[in-house]
Amino acid sequence: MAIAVERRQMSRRDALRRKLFSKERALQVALVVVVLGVWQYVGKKEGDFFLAPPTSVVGAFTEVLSGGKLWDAVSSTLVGIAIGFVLAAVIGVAVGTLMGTSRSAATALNPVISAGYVIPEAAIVPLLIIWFGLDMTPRIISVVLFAVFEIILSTYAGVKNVDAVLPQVARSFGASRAQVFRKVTCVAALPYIFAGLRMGAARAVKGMVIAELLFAATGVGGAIQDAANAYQTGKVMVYVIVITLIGVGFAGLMQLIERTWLRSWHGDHAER
Amino acid sequence: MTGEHSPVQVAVDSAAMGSASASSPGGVPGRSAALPGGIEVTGLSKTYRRVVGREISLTAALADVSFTVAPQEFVSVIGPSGCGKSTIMKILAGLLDPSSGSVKVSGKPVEGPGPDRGCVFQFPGLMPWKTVVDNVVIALEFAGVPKRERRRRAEEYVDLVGLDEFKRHHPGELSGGMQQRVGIARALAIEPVVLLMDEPFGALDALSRTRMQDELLRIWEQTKKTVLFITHSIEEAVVLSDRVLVMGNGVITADVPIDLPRPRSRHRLLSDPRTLELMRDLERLIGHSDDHEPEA
Ligand SMILES: Nc1ncnc2c1ncn2[C@@H]1O[C@H](COP(=O)(O)OP(=O)(O)O)[C@@H](O)[C@H]1O
Ligand SMILES: [Mg+2]
Repeated sequence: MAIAVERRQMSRRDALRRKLFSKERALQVALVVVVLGVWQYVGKKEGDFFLAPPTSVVGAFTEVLSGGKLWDAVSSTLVGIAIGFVLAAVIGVAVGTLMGTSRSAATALNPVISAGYVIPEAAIVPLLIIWFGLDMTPRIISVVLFAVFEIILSTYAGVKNVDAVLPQVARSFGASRAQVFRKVTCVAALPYIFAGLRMGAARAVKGMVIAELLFAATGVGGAIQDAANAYQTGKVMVYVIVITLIGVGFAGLMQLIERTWLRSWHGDHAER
Repeated sequence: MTGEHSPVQVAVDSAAMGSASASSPGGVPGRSAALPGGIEVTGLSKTYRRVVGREISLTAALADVSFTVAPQEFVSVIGPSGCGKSTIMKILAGLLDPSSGSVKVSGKPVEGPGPDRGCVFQFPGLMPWKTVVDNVVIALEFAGVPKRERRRRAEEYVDLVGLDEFKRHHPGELSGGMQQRVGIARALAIEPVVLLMDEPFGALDALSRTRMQDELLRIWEQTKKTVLFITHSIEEAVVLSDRVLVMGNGVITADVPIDLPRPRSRHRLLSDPRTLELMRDLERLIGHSDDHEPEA
């Protein structure tokens, strides 16, 4: 047993400094600078038509902003991603949990899920347009298809791999089946479920943009298509960056939710 | 001194066992196994059935096991790995149904888990996302203890096992011995009449192990529960128990009373020639039970 336990509070300033200035942080920044530098060099050498360098992209960005269409495109894309992702999360966690707890459900569903996971969803999107037309529905379905299998499989793995000792211990203390499920199995699987949701979030963004690209009509994907048809590589890059930011922001949001949910899972200690 | 001259009562024949234990040697005299806290196991058999491909494999883990434990008695079960010790424990805990035979605790047949029995397993089985205290609290919730009482009781038993400094820690921050203490606190906190312990110190290093044995002796003398303690350490069984049941493949081959004075201290016991004699007897009996074939 440890001789003594001591708990101290770090000052806010120290905590902030730890967060802002670390070796990892310096490497992160250096890597971004290197990428931007190479991009600038190649862009300048080849010209705007082939690859607009970051300096031209900044110009294109102000142009896009003053055009006033950016917000419309982004909001339409965001709404689709949000609806599709929530659907995928609900379906994915439910189906994954069912598979993890019932062997017959897992056996029955496994072939369909595995097939769905390997199918290149982009190949199905044109069919969705044929079936559902050009409004929001096929785009949301595309988002669901892109994200749901990842979430199902992670949840399934998480629920199945719960340390078998834990449910047994709970039962030995008299836990009902419902209690074992809610208070042990589901909580124990949370890290896997969140990993699935985080990957699902990134894939949801891809599903949305691919649908929009193929419709060539709406949202950020549509705007990319327009810009590319006009050979405006600067604008294409602007929209690609916007999409990337959406994706990163979305995954970051998931990570934030995960952190608060899993705080007790990991213990909230300064040193890890 | 050899085994033949020792006054130890030994029933090597498992068939004779049932009658031998009915008049229970050792233990607390005058207390029937049908009273609260008593354990009666009669003709217990268990066959595991498993289907692998076309093959149905039947493993006879227990064959006609009978024994009793008097209220407040400390009985160890000792035997080689795979002889069926954990199977007995799981059936008593209500986690596993017997194939045949009867199992009673406090005179009532065991039907599933219940708060009259507290279990400690070889692996502590703590919820990694819960603090030490909260691990005990959730066990109390499962056991049906009213909400307002849970935290007070949890803290009381965490203190009892000496973890007061570590109440808010998570299991991942504790050593193996400390985690096992939480497991013991959790089992005691539901205030069972019977404590079932399946090799609780088996995964610990030798030093932590002896320290935990001393702790358990102290706690047992304080709380006076019936204890069924599974182990594969002869020394552990002798130091702790009133009586030791020796197992060989699926049967009980001997029932050895440990007539050492209490309260016990490891230090005094290990310099007592009687302790060494009992350990030698048990070693011989276990060696013997290794050749013993199951009758079914
Ligand atoms: N779930 C199970 N399915 C099939 N066989 C089992 C199962 N659990 C235990 N056994 C078998 O039963 C026998 C006794 O096991 P166990 O009671 O765990 O022994 P011990 O605790 O004494 O090491 C062993 O041969 C083991 O292989
Ligand atoms: Mg065992």
